[in-house]
Amino acid sequence: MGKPVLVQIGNSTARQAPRYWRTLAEYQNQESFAEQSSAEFAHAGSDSIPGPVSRRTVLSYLAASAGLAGLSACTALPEREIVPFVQQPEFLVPGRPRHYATAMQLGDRVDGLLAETHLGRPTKLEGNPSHPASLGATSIFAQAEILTLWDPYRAATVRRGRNTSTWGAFAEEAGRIRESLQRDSGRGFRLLTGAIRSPSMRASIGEILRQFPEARWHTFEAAHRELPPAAGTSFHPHPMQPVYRIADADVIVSLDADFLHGIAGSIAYAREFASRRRPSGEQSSMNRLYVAEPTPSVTGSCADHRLAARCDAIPSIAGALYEELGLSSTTPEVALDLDAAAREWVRRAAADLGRNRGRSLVIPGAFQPGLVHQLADRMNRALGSEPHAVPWTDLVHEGGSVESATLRGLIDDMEAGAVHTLLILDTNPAYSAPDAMRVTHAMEKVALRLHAGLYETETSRLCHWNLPMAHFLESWGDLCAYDGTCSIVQPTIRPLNGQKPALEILAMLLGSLLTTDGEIVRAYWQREAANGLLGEGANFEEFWRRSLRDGVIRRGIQGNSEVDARFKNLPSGTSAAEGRIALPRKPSESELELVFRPDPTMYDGRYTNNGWLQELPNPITSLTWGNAAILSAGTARRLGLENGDAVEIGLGGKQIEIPVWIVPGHAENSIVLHLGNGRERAGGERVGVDVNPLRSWGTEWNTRGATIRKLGYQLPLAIRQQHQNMENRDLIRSWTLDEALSKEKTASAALKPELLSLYPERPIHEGPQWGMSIDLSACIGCGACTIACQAENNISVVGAEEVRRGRIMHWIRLDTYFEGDPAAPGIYHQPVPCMQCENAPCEVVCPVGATAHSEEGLNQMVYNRCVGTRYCSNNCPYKVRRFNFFQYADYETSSLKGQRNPDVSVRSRGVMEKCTYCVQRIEAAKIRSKVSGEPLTDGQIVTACQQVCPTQAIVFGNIADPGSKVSQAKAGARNYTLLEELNTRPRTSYLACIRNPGDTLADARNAKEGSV
Amino acid sequence: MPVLRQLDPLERPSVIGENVRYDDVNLRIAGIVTAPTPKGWLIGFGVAFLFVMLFMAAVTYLFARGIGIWGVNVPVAWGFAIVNFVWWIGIGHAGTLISAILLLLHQEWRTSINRFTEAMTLFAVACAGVFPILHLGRPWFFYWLFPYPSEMQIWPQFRSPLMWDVFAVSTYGTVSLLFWYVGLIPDFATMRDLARTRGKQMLWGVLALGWRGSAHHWKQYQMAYLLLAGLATPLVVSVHSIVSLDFSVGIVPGWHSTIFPPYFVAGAIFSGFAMVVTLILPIRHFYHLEDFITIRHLDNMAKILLVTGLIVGYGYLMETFIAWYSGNIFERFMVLNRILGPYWWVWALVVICNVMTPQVFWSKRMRVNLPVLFAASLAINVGMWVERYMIVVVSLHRDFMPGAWGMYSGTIWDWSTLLGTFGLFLALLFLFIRGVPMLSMAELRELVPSPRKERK
Repeated sequence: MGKPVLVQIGNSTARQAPRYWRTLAEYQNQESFAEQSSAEFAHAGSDSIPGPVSRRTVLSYLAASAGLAGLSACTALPEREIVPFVQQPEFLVPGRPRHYATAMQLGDRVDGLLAETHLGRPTKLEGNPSHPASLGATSIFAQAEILTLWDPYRAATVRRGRNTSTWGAFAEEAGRIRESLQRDSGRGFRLLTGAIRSPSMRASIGEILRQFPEARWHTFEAAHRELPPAAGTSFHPHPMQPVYRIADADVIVSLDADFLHGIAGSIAYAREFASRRRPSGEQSSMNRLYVAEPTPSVTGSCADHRLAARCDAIPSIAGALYEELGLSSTTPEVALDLDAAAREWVRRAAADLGRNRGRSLVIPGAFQPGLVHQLADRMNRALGSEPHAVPWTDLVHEGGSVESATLRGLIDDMEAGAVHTLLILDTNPAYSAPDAMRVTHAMEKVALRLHAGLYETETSRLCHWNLPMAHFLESWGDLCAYDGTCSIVQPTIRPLNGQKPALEILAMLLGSLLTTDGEIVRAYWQREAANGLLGEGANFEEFWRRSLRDGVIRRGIQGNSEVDARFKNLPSGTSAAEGRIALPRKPSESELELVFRPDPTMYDGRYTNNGWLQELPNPITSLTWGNAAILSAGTARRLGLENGDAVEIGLGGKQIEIPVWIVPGHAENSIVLHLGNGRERAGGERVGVDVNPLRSWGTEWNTRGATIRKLGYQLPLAIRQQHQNMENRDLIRSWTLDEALSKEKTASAALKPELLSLYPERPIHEGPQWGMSIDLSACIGCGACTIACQAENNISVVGAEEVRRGRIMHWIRLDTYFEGDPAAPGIYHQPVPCMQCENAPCEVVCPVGATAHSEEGLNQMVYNRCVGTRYCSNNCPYKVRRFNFFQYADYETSSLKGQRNPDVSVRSRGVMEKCTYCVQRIEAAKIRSKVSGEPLTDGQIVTACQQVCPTQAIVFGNIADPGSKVSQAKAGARNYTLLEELNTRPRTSYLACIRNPGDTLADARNAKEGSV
Repeated sequence: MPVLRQLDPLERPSVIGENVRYDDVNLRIAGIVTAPTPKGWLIGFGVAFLFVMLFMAAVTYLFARGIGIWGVNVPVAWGFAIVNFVWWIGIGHAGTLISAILLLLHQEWRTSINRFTEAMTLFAVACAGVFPILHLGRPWFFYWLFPYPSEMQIWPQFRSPLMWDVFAVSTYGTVSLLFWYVGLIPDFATMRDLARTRGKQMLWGVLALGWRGSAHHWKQYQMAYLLLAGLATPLVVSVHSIVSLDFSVGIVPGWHSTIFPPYFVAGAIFSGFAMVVTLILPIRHFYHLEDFITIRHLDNMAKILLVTGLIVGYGYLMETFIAWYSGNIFERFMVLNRILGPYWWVWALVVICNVMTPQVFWSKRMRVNLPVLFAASLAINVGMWVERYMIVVVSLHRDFMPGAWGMYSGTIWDWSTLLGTFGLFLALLFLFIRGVPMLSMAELRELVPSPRKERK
């Protein structure tokens, strides 16, 4: 019976074979499946066993398969050489972190960094002290980058369409693209990138443009206003950048420029600015800052004279200032219809500028039109204080001459059908460009769209190929900072999921011989060296090693006379013929103005999935997790709005729904909307509101004619600080310079009542006594301390709902208070870490002794002993204690474990925590000192907040040593402690904030001299 | 045994009904226990039990997720749990006061309500006692608050008032239980004697600890009872004083005040008597105990409510005065913030319920008007809970640094836990009413006018 059946089966197989299929995709006979399955082992060589199959071959393959079967469960093997520690490398001590110099770029900002790694895991980024743009500090974004590196939502796999693909498959695709580009010399090929500050990247792009002459390169930075050279800004065409000498300026006028926080070089500027804000006895040592801006910025909050002005009124204010300085040659009598406050501000600023010729500075805002830049440039030149400008691309030989086109040009070309292949490198125009829908539609006309980026984004969704890009901490590279200083970016870890750096992706496209980023970067600098960068007879290897170690490529940049000369010879626009600038009239005040700005913490939206930045309070509003329409109290009253009210803002037929937030000192009839929120595709849920739909080209930074409609309900906002009125309490001492210099203040400080305690005096122990001093005069309120502390101390992110309920975990918070007239308030910042009280109220009330005092004066938290009564928090008058109401620390996500600082406990649910003065750093230094036998020196121990502070407002050290910096800071007349009358004896003390508004009478006397 | 003086019944209303005989006492009070379960009891207990289940659900979820399911935050790190704790502990005070102090003061009218109020004390302390544990971040380590010989030689931190709380509340619970049980012994014997079946005789017999009613027994018993009363007396003052130190040791404006101990004790008695009235009026009605709990009892309790209410009102007044008189800006702000701040309604409720409501008891007519009495007692119960809310939450939400101020509101889990303890309390009370003679038969028998006198 068996035999005929077998025959039957055989017959039927021949006629109609049953279709066995592996996946539904194969069943449907998709082309993509066929490719993918055939290319599965593309990188391993040939697909099939060659030649006739012998018994031996089969056996050897069997053995190999069995041997490799065990490996198949592992991740892909690293392609580069990695030697395991057969012998422990010298200097690599487990438990002792290593630091590597590197650098990061954000828009046009480049920060030199030191990456701290623990056994190969990068855990923290610090500023590189020898890098002129960092000076040892960092921006908030650099602190957050470490979390981005370990973000489990980062793009991890090559995707073709929706399917998973491989780098091998892409290599084949790149080969095909290259062939087609070679055929028609690159016609229709476009490359879209963000701003490129990397010389080797520019060289690679230059190579593409050289090989395929018809190809075009476009750049787009969502958080930057493109200022065409034609705007008349003599120094602003990309990529040249002005370098201001803030430290030399006695009078600084900011025309909506957030130069302390939001522009390239901000950290250095903030350092220079703060160096002139600590009065040292003489009147002249302190600078004076005038700021005119629509909404309080970090810079505006430090101003001595701040003017709340609509964004579209800034050009006329600039014009009025120009006129007031006597520079307008054509229409001197034009009455710019400014209101009284603006006119007064302009008059004072002009008088002050004029009095301080050669020591004054006008800084135009990055989001102001070219006209403001032009006026500012002319004023600076007339005042004899033109900024030093560095066209940094001149400092590198290759790639310097490559010019990029704009995104608008690309869109036009795409719409015209002139683009058939588009490669987008880590930029997201489909979300962040004005008229984003137009980008989306235009892209659909491109035949082949490729995207490489850290994340899958709104743009990547539109692309055929999605290539996961390596983080800068995983790649080699090089970056040049605002002043031309270049750094080598060196990797600290292998790409976590086999992502590739942008340089390698370009190399695949170019088919170049150098395939790894390390080789490309090194080869670039070798060529630079060959071009004479190092001078005669220098050893490249030595240069390379030194550059890697220092994080700065040493060469004569600052004194590059050739460059300086070239800058000076640029058409200055001050000749008589060009002198006519049509001074703008102030626009009508009644019309509602919309102002778009990058979010202070979200930037352009690229950090959407970064919980640290989401939860970092906005420096002024303290808003976390999302955005709001910011407006003034007067405008809100006129529109009948209260904080949190939902409104519909309409412009040009498009609407958004957004809650409002009232900010004192905001310009009337102006609404500021922050970009970078409300992203659809960013890992988690949508946070905040995308305001981008209201923007279109030409009016992408400010516009008029918006309508606003109250919707009648509230939208929840996660506000950290609900109360910004100091209630007449002595929390922030603010003196004018005159007051500070007068003897009375010093005297009153001495008139302290005797404070008695029921408890016996604590014995003073031998050894160091830790203390901290925070200079409120130097604090600009940027919030870097908060996020650095979060990175250092494994502080959990709690989410919007928990912030709303008052459960934010930050160990050092930034209190911002407004004082005086709500229309023109004084704005003050106060970082509040644990005060480490000597008579700590928290310690007496803990029933289990989980918080206790150390001999070195630290108020310590013993997590293991804490049962969570939270009495300590209630009894803390400074409310600096934070409680784990839930299991906030993520024990599950494996990639986040790599980020954590191994020297700091990860706290569990139900445990109190708080600032420890970075006790792990103190102990590490003590151990080092003990091992080496050298005593601890002042400044050897740096807390995370102190290290990151751009203005060095925070000083930490041993108060038992009268020579230490912290003792000296505390000895000054400006020193005070918070809530001194409670006799808690805080170890953290503050230095009073000094403002320098100047003497009104003297101003009036000198008004006449003011004209230039 | 309490010394009983026969008062002229014409002078004051009697503390026991005119026609009550010895037999009536036993039969009517023990009858409540021996009679078949009334339908009303089943319904009442069923509803209370549902709330016990709510409590169990809320606590289970709390243990699973963490304290974050409640509304607590920074700055308001204590919320409902502490409010409930203080409130329940306060309620217990009436029982101890009636049992111990009024006994020592020879207030014989206490006799008919002491058993009941002692039980109320016990259950209130049980309800209160769960909160300090539930509110811990890591409740599984609650035993670290006890001074036990730990293998790591770690002791609690004795300067902390929370530590004192542990001793105060556990002592209070223990003494209340003993006092209640000792008072029950003669009645257990009566129950044993009345029991018909062997099983019940065994059960009651064991509980009666071999009581035979001999003169010797009575002598020892009276001494023991008096001694326990003496032990319990300081607890009336100490427990809530120590609970109040949780606050007054703290430096928070609105907490840091020397007035707290007396003010808290008065408040505790105030709320405790209010709760006694709230509970006893329906029981008196449903179990027809008008002969044992007479108008005179209610009148006396209303007077106590008036007096303690006035003390509490004085406390509020002094707090406000001292805030102004001290010149301390934080204290001043605290008072102004209570009255005019975002929690103004809390302050308004406190004044209406705790200060204004008891003023009706100046009138004798109101004191003996049962609906008025019941309504007032409910208002005082609410008022005293809200007062603790004001002290805990409103003081914390705006303390020293405006930059750290916040708001607080209870979540659904806060409310569930509070309602759950109502259920727990009532369920225990129902079991008590059904299972144990709720009035002291032994003591009531002594109040019954002597038969000889009656025969005259």
